[in-house]
Amino acid sequence: MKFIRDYELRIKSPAGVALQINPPVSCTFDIDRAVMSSVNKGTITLTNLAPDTRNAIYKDKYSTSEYWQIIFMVGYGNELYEIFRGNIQEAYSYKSGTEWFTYIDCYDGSYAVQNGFISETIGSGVSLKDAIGRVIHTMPEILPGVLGTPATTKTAPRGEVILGSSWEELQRITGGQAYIDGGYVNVMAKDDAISSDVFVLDSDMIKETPKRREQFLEVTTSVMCPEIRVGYICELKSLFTRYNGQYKTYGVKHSGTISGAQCGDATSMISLYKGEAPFTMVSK
Amino acid sequence: MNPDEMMPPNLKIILDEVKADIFSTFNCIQIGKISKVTSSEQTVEIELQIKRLAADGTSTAYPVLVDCPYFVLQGGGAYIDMPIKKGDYCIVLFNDRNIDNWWSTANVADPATARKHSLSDALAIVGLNPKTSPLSMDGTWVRILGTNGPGSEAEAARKGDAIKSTMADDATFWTWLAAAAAVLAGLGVAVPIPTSLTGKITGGSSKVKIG
Repeated sequence: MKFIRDYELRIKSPAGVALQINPPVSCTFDIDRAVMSSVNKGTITLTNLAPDTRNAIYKDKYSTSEYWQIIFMVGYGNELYEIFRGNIQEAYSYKSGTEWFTYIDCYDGSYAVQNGFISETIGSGVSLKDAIGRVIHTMPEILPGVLGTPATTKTAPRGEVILGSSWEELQRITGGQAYIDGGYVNVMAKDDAISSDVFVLDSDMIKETPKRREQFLEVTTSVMCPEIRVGYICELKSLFTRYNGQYKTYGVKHSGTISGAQCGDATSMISLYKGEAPFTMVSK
Repeated sequence: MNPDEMMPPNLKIILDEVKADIFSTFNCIQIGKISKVTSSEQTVEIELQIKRLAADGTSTAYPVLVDCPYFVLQGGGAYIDMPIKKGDYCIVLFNDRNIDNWWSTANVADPATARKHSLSDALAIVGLNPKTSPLSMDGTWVRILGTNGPGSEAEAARKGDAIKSTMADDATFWTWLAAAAAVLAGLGVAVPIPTSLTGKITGGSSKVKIG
Protein backbone atom coordinates (compact mmCIF):
# COMPACT_ATOMS: atom_id res chain seq x y z
CA MET A 1 0.00 0.00 0.00
CA LYS A 2 1.46 3.34 -1.05
CA PHE A 3 2.85 5.20 1.99
CA ILE A 4 1.23 2.49 4.12
CA ARG A 5 -2.12 4.18 3.62
CA ASP A 6 -4.93 2.36 5.30
CA TYR A 7 -8.67 2.70 5.69
CA GLU A 8 -11.66 1.14 7.33
CA LEU A 9 -15.21 1.51 6.07
CA ARG A 10 -18.11 0.54 8.31
CA ILE A 11 -21.66 0.30 7.06
CA LYS A 12 -24.77 -0.60 9.00
CA SER A 13 -27.98 -1.32 7.12
CA PRO A 14 -31.49 -0.50 8.44
CA ALA A 15 -31.89 -4.24 9.14
CA GLY A 16 -28.88 -4.05 11.45
CA VAL A 17 -26.45 -5.88 9.17
CA ALA A 18 -22.95 -4.55 9.82
CA LEU A 19 -20.28 -4.60 7.14
CA GLN A 20 -16.63 -3.74 7.54
CA ILE A 21 -14.39 -3.22 4.55
CA ASN A 22 -10.64 -2.83 4.68
CA PRO A 23 -7.72 -3.14 2.27
CA PRO A 24 -6.85 -4.93 0.03
CA VAL A 25 -10.16 -3.80 -1.45
CA SER A 26 -9.28 -0.72 -3.47
CA CYS A 27 -10.98 2.46 -2.39
CA THR A 28 -11.24 5.87 -4.03
CA PHE A 29 -12.87 8.67 -2.13
CA ASP A 30 -13.76 12.35 -2.00
CA ILE A 31 -14.84 13.75 1.33
CA ASP A 32 -15.98 17.34 1.70
CA ARG A 33 -16.51 18.82 5.16
CA ALA A 34 -17.15 22.42 6.10
CA VAL A 35 -18.68 24.61 8.78
CA MET A 36 -21.50 25.63 6.47
CA SER A 37 -25.21 25.07 6.57
CA SER A 38 -25.09 22.67 3.63
CA VAL A 39 -24.50 19.10 4.76
CA ASN A 40 -21.08 17.50 4.32
CA LYS A 41 -20.77 15.10 1.44
CA GLY A 42 -18.70 12.09 0.57
CA THR A 43 -18.37 9.71 -2.35
CA ILE A 44 -16.59 6.41 -2.02
CA THR A 45 -15.94 3.89 -4.76
CA LEU A 46 -14.84 0.38 -3.90
CA THR A 47 -13.39 -2.00 -6.43
CA ASN A 48 -14.12 -5.70 -6.66
CA LEU A 49 -16.01 -6.37 -3.48
CA ALA A 50 -17.13 -9.93 -2.85
CA PRO A 51 -20.48 -10.57 -4.58
CA ASP A 52 -22.41 -10.96 -1.30
CA THR A 53 -21.01 -7.72 0.09
CA ARG A 54 -21.60 -5.94 -3.20
CA ASN A 55 -25.22 -7.08 -3.30
CA ALA A 56 -25.75 -6.06 0.31
CA ILE A 57 -24.75 -2.49 -0.42
CA TYR A 58 -27.66 -1.09 -2.37
CA LYS A 59 -29.72 1.94 -1.53
CA ASP A 60 -32.27 3.81 -3.54
CA LYS A 61 -31.60 7.53 -3.16
CA TYR A 62 -35.31 8.28 -2.83
CA SER A 63 -35.86 5.94 0.13
CA THR A 64 -35.16 8.72 2.59
CA SER A 65 -36.68 6.95 5.57
CA GLU A 66 -34.05 4.17 5.52
CA TYR A 67 -31.05 4.86 7.70
CA TRP A 68 -27.82 3.39 6.41
CA GLN A 69 -25.03 4.46 8.71
CA ILE A 70 -21.54 4.88 7.27
CA ILE A 71 -18.27 5.61 9.02
CA PHE A 72 -15.08 6.07 7.04
CA MET A 73 -11.66 6.15 8.63
CA VAL A 74 -8.35 6.64 6.90
CA GLY A 75 -4.76 7.01 8.00
CA TYR A 76 -1.33 5.55 7.83
CA GLY A 77 -0.27 2.27 9.32
CA ASN A 78 -2.59 1.42 12.16
CA GLU A 79 -3.36 5.02 13.01
CA LEU A 80 -6.78 5.71 11.55
CA TYR A 81 -8.84 8.88 11.86
CA GLU A 82 -12.53 9.20 11.26
CA ILE A 83 -12.94 11.55 8.29
CA PHE A 84 -16.60 10.90 7.65
CA ARG A 85 -19.64 9.82 9.64
CA GLY A 86 -23.06 10.04 8.16
CA ASN A 87 -25.59 8.11 6.16
CA ILE A 88 -25.73 6.65 2.70
CA GLN A 89 -27.99 8.44 0.28
CA GLU A 90 -27.39 6.18 -2.68
CA ALA A 91 -25.36 3.03 -3.26
CA TYR A 92 -25.13 0.66 -6.18
CA SER A 93 -22.67 -1.55 -8.06
CA TYR A 94 -21.80 -1.91 -11.71
CA LYS A 95 -19.28 -3.71 -13.84
CA SER A 96 -17.01 -1.81 -16.18
CA GLY A 97 -14.55 -3.84 -18.23
CA THR A 98 -13.27 -6.54 -15.98
CA GLU A 99 -13.83 -4.69 -12.72
CA TRP A 100 -16.81 -4.42 -10.40
CA PHE A 101 -17.27 -0.99 -8.83
CA THR A 102 -19.46 -0.17 -5.86
CA TYR A 103 -20.38 3.50 -5.72
CA ILE A 104 -21.51 5.06 -2.44
CA ASP A 105 -22.89 8.57 -2.17
CA CYS A 106 -23.19 9.71 1.43
CA TYR A 107 -24.02 12.78 3.44
CA ASP A 108 -23.32 13.79 7.00
CA GLY A 109 -26.68 14.20 8.71
CA SER A 110 -28.89 14.15 5.63
CA TYR A 111 -31.07 11.47 7.25
CA ALA A 112 -31.67 13.85 10.15
CA VAL A 113 -32.24 16.76 7.79
CA GLN A 114 -34.74 14.82 5.69
CA ASN A 115 -36.60 13.14 8.56
CA GLY A 116 -36.42 15.62 11.43
CA PHE A 117 -39.73 17.33 12.10
CA ILE A 118 -40.67 19.54 15.01
CA SER A 119 -44.05 20.70 16.26
CA GLU A 120 -43.59 22.31 19.66
CA THR A 121 -44.51 25.31 21.74
CA ILE A 122 -41.54 26.94 23.43
CA GLY A 123 -42.50 29.02 26.47
CA SER A 124 -41.28 32.56 26.99
CA GLY A 125 -38.92 31.54 29.79
CA VAL A 126 -36.99 29.03 27.69
CA SER A 127 -33.49 30.10 26.62
CA LEU A 128 -32.39 29.97 23.02
CA LYS A 129 -29.84 27.34 23.97
CA ASP A 130 -32.56 25.09 25.37
CA ALA A 131 -34.77 25.75 22.35
CA ILE A 132 -31.90 24.69 20.07
CA GLY A 133 -31.50 21.54 22.15
CA ARG A 134 -35.19 20.74 21.75
CA VAL A 135 -34.98 21.14 17.99
CA ILE A 136 -31.89 18.93 17.75
CA HIS A 137 -33.68 16.34 19.88
CA THR A 138 -36.27 15.92 17.11
CA MET A 139 -33.59 15.10 14.53
CA PRO A 140 -32.94 11.35 14.32
CA GLU A 141 -29.45 9.84 14.50
CA ILE A 142 -27.81 13.10 15.45
CA LEU A 143 -26.53 14.66 18.66
CA PRO A 144 -25.97 18.20 19.93
CA GLY A 145 -22.36 19.28 19.62
CA VAL A 146 -20.74 22.65 20.28
CA LEU A 147 -23.26 25.42 20.92
CA GLY A 148 -21.22 28.59 20.57
CA THR A 149 -21.86 32.33 20.52
CA PRO A 150 -25.15 32.30 18.57
CA ALA A 151 -26.65 29.91 21.11
CA THR A 152 -26.62 32.40 23.95
CA THR A 153 -28.79 31.97 26.99
CA LYS A 154 -31.04 34.94 26.12
CA THR A 155 -34.77 34.41 26.35
CA ALA A 156 -37.46 35.84 24.12
CA PRO A 157 -40.13 38.08 25.70
CA ARG A 158 -42.84 35.92 24.17
CA GLY A 159 -43.22 32.23 23.64
CA GLU A 160 -42.70 30.74 20.24
CA VAL A 161 -44.16 28.00 18.09
CA ILE A 162 -41.65 25.92 16.18
CA LEU A 163 -43.24 23.91 13.43
CA GLY A 164 -41.71 22.36 10.34
CA SER A 165 -38.51 20.74 9.17
CA SER A 166 -36.23 20.60 12.21
CA TRP A 167 -33.20 21.54 10.14
CA GLU A 168 -34.90 24.53 8.55
CA GLU A 169 -36.24 25.68 11.91
CA LEU A 170 -32.81 25.24 13.47
CA GLN A 171 -31.26 27.39 10.75
CA ARG A 172 -34.00 29.95 11.28
CA ILE A 173 -33.60 30.30 15.02
CA THR A 174 -29.79 30.32 14.83
CA GLY A 175 -29.57 32.73 11.92
CA GLY A 176 -28.17 30.06 9.59
CA GLN A 177 -25.22 29.30 11.84
CA ALA A 178 -25.85 25.61 12.47
CA TYR A 179 -23.93 22.88 10.72
CA ILE A 180 -23.58 19.14 11.05
CA ASP A 181 -20.17 17.53 11.31
CA GLY A 182 -19.47 13.96 12.25
CA GLY A 183 -23.02 13.33 13.42
CA TYR A 184 -23.05 16.35 15.73
CA VAL A 185 -24.94 19.59 15.28
CA ASN A 186 -22.77 22.59 16.05
CA VAL A 187 -23.97 26.17 16.24
CA MET A 188 -21.08 28.57 15.80
CA ALA A 189 -20.53 32.12 14.63
CA LYS A 190 -17.99 32.74 11.92
CA ASP A 191 -15.41 33.87 14.48
CA ASP A 192 -16.07 31.02 16.91
CA ALA A 193 -13.52 28.20 17.01
CA ILE A 194 -13.60 24.94 18.93
CA SER A 195 -11.20 24.84 21.82
CA SER A 196 -8.52 22.18 21.39
CA ASP A 197 -4.83 21.71 20.59
CA VAL A 198 -3.72 23.74 17.59
CA PHE A 199 -3.07 21.74 14.42
CA VAL A 200 0.23 22.87 12.91
CA LEU A 201 0.40 22.86 9.13
CA ASP A 202 4.09 23.28 8.44
CA SER A 203 5.94 23.68 5.19
CA ASP A 204 6.82 19.98 4.94
CA MET A 205 3.13 19.16 4.66
CA ILE A 206 2.21 21.77 2.08
CA LYS A 207 2.26 20.89 -1.59
CA GLU A 208 2.17 24.43 -2.98
CA THR A 209 1.90 27.99 -1.75
CA PRO A 210 -1.38 28.91 -0.07
CA LYS A 211 -3.93 30.38 -2.47
CA ARG A 212 -5.86 33.41 -1.38
CA ARG A 213 -9.46 32.80 -2.42
CA GLU A 214 -12.15 35.30 -1.41
CA GLN A 215 -12.13 35.34 2.39
CA PHE A 216 -10.18 32.12 2.63
CA LEU A 217 -6.76 30.68 2.17
CA GLU A 218 -6.71 27.41 0.30
CA VAL A 219 -3.90 25.06 1.24
CA THR A 220 -3.27 21.73 -0.43
CA THR A 221 -1.22 19.22 1.47
CA SER A 222 1.36 16.96 -0.10
CA VAL A 223 0.02 13.98 1.82
CA MET A 224 -3.46 13.48 3.19
CA CYS A 225 -3.98 14.89 6.70
CA PRO A 226 -6.93 12.92 8.08
CA GLU A 227 -6.40 14.27 11.58
CA ILE A 228 -7.42 17.82 10.68
CA ARG A 229 -10.92 18.79 11.82
CA VAL A 230 -13.16 21.62 10.76
CA GLY A 231 -14.02 24.35 13.22
CA TYR A 232 -10.69 24.04 15.04
CA ILE A 233 -7.64 26.29 15.01
CA CYS A 234 -4.88 25.55 12.52
CA GLU A 235 -1.51 27.26 12.47
CA LEU A 236 0.02 27.79 9.06
CA LYS A 237 3.83 27.72 8.84
CA SER A 238 4.62 28.07 5.16
CA LEU A 239 8.01 28.98 3.67
CA PHE A 240 6.06 31.70 1.93
CA THR A 241 5.58 33.56 5.18
CA ARG A 242 3.12 36.23 4.12
CA TYR A 243 0.09 34.26 5.20
CA ASN A 244 1.56 32.49 8.21
CA GLY A 245 -0.53 32.64 11.34
CA GLN A 246 -3.45 31.05 13.09
CA TYR A 247 -6.67 30.36 11.24
CA LYS A 248 -9.94 28.60 11.75
CA THR A 249 -10.29 25.48 9.63
CA TYR A 250 -13.37 26.36 7.62
CA GLY A 251 -13.44 23.35 5.37
CA VAL A 252 -11.43 20.34 4.33
CA LYS A 253 -11.62 18.12 1.27
CA HIS A 254 -9.91 14.77 1.46
CA SER A 255 -9.49 12.91 -1.75
CA GLY A 256 -7.42 9.95 -2.69
CA THR A 257 -6.98 6.34 -3.58
CA ILE A 258 -6.00 3.59 -1.20
CA SER A 259 -5.13 0.49 -3.12
CA GLY A 260 -2.55 -2.22 -3.34
CA ALA A 261 -3.10 -2.50 -7.08
CA GLN A 262 -3.01 1.07 -8.21
CA CYS A 263 -1.06 4.11 -7.11
CA GLY A 264 -2.60 7.52 -6.84
CA ASP A 265 -2.60 10.70 -4.83
CA ALA A 266 -4.18 11.16 -1.44
CA THR A 267 -4.33 14.80 -0.44
CA SER A 268 -6.24 17.20 1.70
CA MET A 269 -7.32 20.64 0.57
CA ILE A 270 -7.90 22.87 3.54
CA SER A 271 -9.81 26.16 3.63
CA LEU A 272 -8.54 28.50 6.30
CA TYR A 273 -10.38 31.53 7.63
CA LYS A 274 -8.48 34.38 9.25
CA GLY A 275 -11.43 35.86 11.08
CA GLU A 276 -12.74 39.40 11.30
CA ALA A 277 -12.13 39.53 15.04
CA PRO A 278 -10.10 37.47 17.50
CA PHE A 279 -11.54 33.99 17.62
CA THR A 280 -13.89 33.15 20.44
CA MET A 281 -12.97 29.74 21.74
CA VAL A 282 -15.98 27.57 22.46
CA SER A 283 -16.36 24.04 23.71
CA LYS A 284 -19.08 21.50 24.43
CA MET B 1 -30.06 5.90 -16.49
CA ASN B 2 -31.35 7.31 -13.26
CA PRO B 3 -35.01 8.31 -12.68
CA ASP B 4 -34.23 12.01 -13.03
CA GLU B 5 -32.89 11.42 -16.51
CA MET B 6 -35.83 9.24 -17.49
CA MET B 7 -38.44 11.65 -16.17
CA PRO B 8 -36.89 15.11 -15.93
CA PRO B 9 -39.13 17.41 -13.87
CA ASN B 10 -40.67 20.07 -16.06
CA LEU B 11 -41.07 23.70 -15.08
CA LYS B 12 -44.80 23.43 -14.36
CA ILE B 13 -44.26 20.58 -11.89
CA ILE B 14 -41.51 22.53 -10.16
CA LEU B 15 -43.61 25.70 -9.97
CA ASP B 16 -46.61 23.74 -8.69
CA GLU B 17 -44.43 22.20 -5.99
CA VAL B 18 -43.08 25.60 -5.00
CA LYS B 19 -46.59 27.03 -4.89
CA ALA B 20 -47.86 24.13 -2.80
CA ASP B 21 -44.93 24.53 -0.41
CA ILE B 22 -45.55 28.26 0.01
CA PHE B 23 -49.26 27.81 0.69
CA SER B 24 -48.70 24.93 3.09
CA THR B 25 -46.23 26.86 5.23
CA PHE B 26 -47.70 30.35 4.94
CA ASN B 27 -49.83 31.47 7.89
CA CYS B 28 -52.52 34.05 7.26
CA ILE B 29 -55.79 33.58 9.20
CA GLN B 30 -57.03 30.68 11.29
CA ILE B 31 -59.87 29.96 13.69
CA GLY B 32 -58.84 29.35 17.26
CA LYS B 33 -60.29 28.45 20.63
CA ILE B 34 -58.95 30.13 23.71
CA SER B 35 -57.39 27.73 26.19
CA LYS B 36 -56.01 30.23 28.69
CA VAL B 37 -56.44 33.93 29.38
CA THR B 38 -53.81 36.11 31.01
CA SER B 39 -55.77 39.31 31.65
CA SER B 40 -52.82 41.12 33.22
CA GLU B 41 -50.93 40.95 29.91
CA GLN B 42 -54.01 40.88 27.70
CA THR B 43 -52.81 37.71 26.04
CA VAL B 44 -54.37 34.36 25.39
CA GLU B 45 -53.24 30.86 24.56
CA ILE B 46 -54.98 29.46 21.54
CA GLU B 47 -55.67 26.02 20.12
CA LEU B 48 -56.14 26.19 16.38
CA GLN B 49 -59.32 24.44 15.34
CA ILE B 50 -58.30 23.15 11.94
CA LYS B 51 -55.64 20.47 11.92
CA ARG B 52 -52.59 20.30 9.72
CA LEU B 53 -52.69 17.78 6.89
CA ALA B 54 -49.53 15.90 6.04
CA ALA B 55 -48.62 14.71 2.56
CA ASP B 56 -49.31 11.11 3.60
CA GLY B 57 -52.92 11.97 4.48
CA THR B 58 -52.48 11.96 8.26
CA SER B 59 -53.42 14.99 10.29
CA THR B 60 -52.02 16.46 13.47
CA ALA B 61 -52.96 19.34 15.71
CA TYR B 62 -50.91 22.49 15.65
CA PRO B 63 -48.93 23.32 18.78
CA VAL B 64 -50.64 25.69 21.22
CA LEU B 65 -50.05 29.34 20.33
CA VAL B 66 -48.83 31.26 23.36
CA ASP B 67 -48.59 34.91 24.41
CA CYS B 68 -51.02 36.05 21.72
CA PRO B 69 -52.24 39.63 22.28
CA TYR B 70 -56.01 39.91 21.96
CA PHE B 71 -57.90 42.76 20.38
CA VAL B 72 -59.85 45.11 22.67
CA LEU B 73 -62.30 47.60 21.17
CA GLN B 74 -60.95 50.87 22.49
CA GLY B 75 -59.85 54.42 21.76
CA GLY B 76 -58.74 57.54 23.59
CA GLY B 77 -58.38 55.61 26.79
CA ALA B 78 -61.94 54.25 26.69
CA TYR B 79 -62.47 50.57 26.07
CA ILE B 80 -64.96 47.79 26.34
CA ASP B 81 -63.82 45.20 28.83
CA MET B 82 -65.22 41.81 27.90
CA PRO B 83 -64.86 38.85 30.26
CA ILE B 84 -62.96 36.71 27.76
CA LYS B 85 -62.70 33.17 29.00
CA LYS B 86 -61.41 29.72 28.13
CA GLY B 87 -63.52 28.16 25.40
CA ASP B 88 -64.22 31.38 23.49
CA TYR B 89 -63.61 31.20 19.77
CA CYS B 90 -61.49 33.78 18.02
CA ILE B 91 -60.09 34.79 14.68
CA VAL B 92 -56.31 34.38 14.69
CA LEU B 93 -54.27 36.69 12.49
CA PHE B 94 -50.58 36.09 11.86
CA ASN B 95 -48.51 39.24 11.70
CA ASP B 96 -46.20 39.84 8.75
CA ARG B 97 -43.17 40.25 11.03
CA ASN B 98 -41.99 39.36 14.53
CA ILE B 99 -44.01 41.31 17.11
CA ASP B 100 -41.82 40.53 20.16
CA ASN B 101 -40.09 43.92 20.35
CA TRP B 102 -43.25 45.96 19.83
CA TRP B 103 -45.20 43.88 22.31
CA SER B 104 -42.56 44.04 25.03
CA THR B 105 -41.51 47.71 24.60
CA ALA B 106 -44.23 49.49 22.55
CA ASN B 107 -41.41 51.06 20.53
CA VAL B 108 -40.75 51.20 16.83
CA ALA B 109 -37.95 48.66 16.48
CA ASP B 110 -36.33 46.14 14.20
CA PRO B 111 -37.97 42.73 14.29
CA ALA B 112 -36.29 40.49 16.84
CA THR B 113 -35.93 37.74 14.25
CA ALA B 114 -36.47 37.35 10.54
CA ARG B 115 -39.57 35.17 10.87
CA LYS B 116 -42.54 36.12 8.69
CA HIS B 117 -46.20 35.12 8.95
CA SER B 118 -45.19 32.86 11.79
CA LEU B 119 -47.43 30.93 14.14
CA SER B 120 -45.43 32.67 16.87
CA ASP B 121 -46.83 36.09 15.92
CA ALA B 122 -50.53 35.45 16.32
CA LEU B 123 -53.10 38.10 17.24
CA ALA B 124 -56.59 37.21 18.44
CA ILE B 125 -59.92 38.86 17.72
CA VAL B 126 -62.42 37.26 20.04
CA GLY B 127 -66.01 36.86 18.88
CA LEU B 128 -66.69 34.17 16.34
CA ASN B 129 -69.17 31.35 16.59
CA PRO B 130 -69.71 28.09 14.77
CA LYS B 131 -73.12 27.09 13.48
CA THR B 132 -73.58 24.79 16.47
CA SER B 133 -73.50 27.60 19.04
CA PRO B 134 -74.80 30.87 17.62
CA LEU B 135 -75.63 33.74 19.95
CA SER B 136 -79.28 34.59 20.66
CA MET B 137 -79.95 37.58 18.41
CA ASP B 138 -83.27 38.67 16.86
CA GLY B 139 -81.78 41.44 14.75
CA THR B 140 -84.27 44.02 16.13
CA TRP B 141 -82.56 45.60 19.08
CA VAL B 142 -79.10 46.84 19.94
CA ARG B 143 -78.39 44.66 22.92
CA ILE B 144 -75.42 44.49 25.21
CA LEU B 145 -75.63 41.30 27.22
CA GLY B 146 -73.69 40.48 30.31
CA THR B 147 -72.62 37.06 31.45
CA ASN B 148 -76.21 36.29 32.56
CA GLY B 149 -77.14 35.96 28.92
CA PRO B 150 -80.39 36.59 27.01
CA GLY B 151 -83.47 37.52 29.07
CA SER B 152 -81.52 39.40 31.70
CA GLU B 153 -81.40 42.59 29.69
CA ALA B 154 -83.63 45.69 30.14
CA GLU B 155 -84.34 48.64 27.91
CA ALA B 156 -81.93 51.53 28.32
CA ALA B 157 -83.30 55.03 29.20
CA ARG B 158 -81.90 58.28 27.81
CA LYS B 159 -82.14 61.97 28.65
CA GLY B 160 -85.48 63.26 27.35
CA ASP B 161 -87.20 59.91 27.50
CA ALA B 162 -90.76 60.12 28.91
CA ILE B 163 -91.43 58.79 32.38
CA LYS B 164 -94.80 57.81 33.85
CA SER B 165 -95.80 56.58 37.29
CA THR B 166 -99.11 55.07 38.44
CA MET B 167 -100.28 52.91 41.36
CA ALA B 168 -99.20 49.89 39.33
CA ASP B 169 -95.66 51.31 38.97
CA ASP B 170 -95.03 52.51 42.53
CA ALA B 171 -97.66 51.36 45.00
CA THR B 172 -95.76 52.60 48.06
CA PHE B 173 -95.56 56.18 46.78
CA TRP B 174 -99.18 56.38 45.64
CA THR B 175 -100.48 54.77 48.84
CA TRP B 176 -98.50 57.29 50.89
CA LEU B 177 -99.88 60.14 48.76
CA ALA B 178 -103.44 58.92 49.27
CA ALA B 179 -102.82 58.71 53.02
CA ALA B 180 -101.40 62.25 53.06
CA ALA B 181 -104.43 63.51 51.10
CA ALA B 182 -106.76 61.85 53.62
CA VAL B 183 -104.95 63.63 56.49
CA LEU B 184 -105.26 66.95 54.67
CA ALA B 185 -108.95 66.30 54.03
CA GLY B 186 -109.42 65.56 57.76
CA LEU B 187 -107.93 68.97 58.49
CA GLY B 188 -110.40 70.53 56.08
CA VAL B 189 -107.86 71.13 53.33
CA ALA B 190 -109.36 70.07 50.04
CA VAL B 191 -106.74 69.54 47.30
CA PRO B 192 -106.92 67.54 44.07
CA ILE B 193 -105.18 64.19 44.42
CA PRO B 194 -103.21 63.06 41.33
CA THR B 195 -103.37 59.40 40.44
CA SER B 196 -100.55 59.37 37.88
CA LEU B 197 -97.39 61.29 37.05
CA THR B 198 -95.65 62.07 33.73
CA GLY B 199 -92.34 63.79 32.91
CA LYS B 200 -88.99 63.46 31.21
CA ILE B 201 -85.56 62.31 32.23
CA THR B 202 -83.60 65.52 32.47
CA GLY B 203 -80.03 64.24 32.89
CA GLY B 204 -77.80 61.26 32.18
CA SER B 205 -74.17 60.25 31.84
CA SER B 206 -71.99 62.90 30.25
CA LYS B 207 -69.55 60.17 29.17
CA VAL B 208 -71.81 57.78 27.26
CA LYS B 209 -74.35 58.58 24.58
CA ILE B 210 -76.72 56.17 22.87
CA GLY B 211 -78.24 57.09 19.53
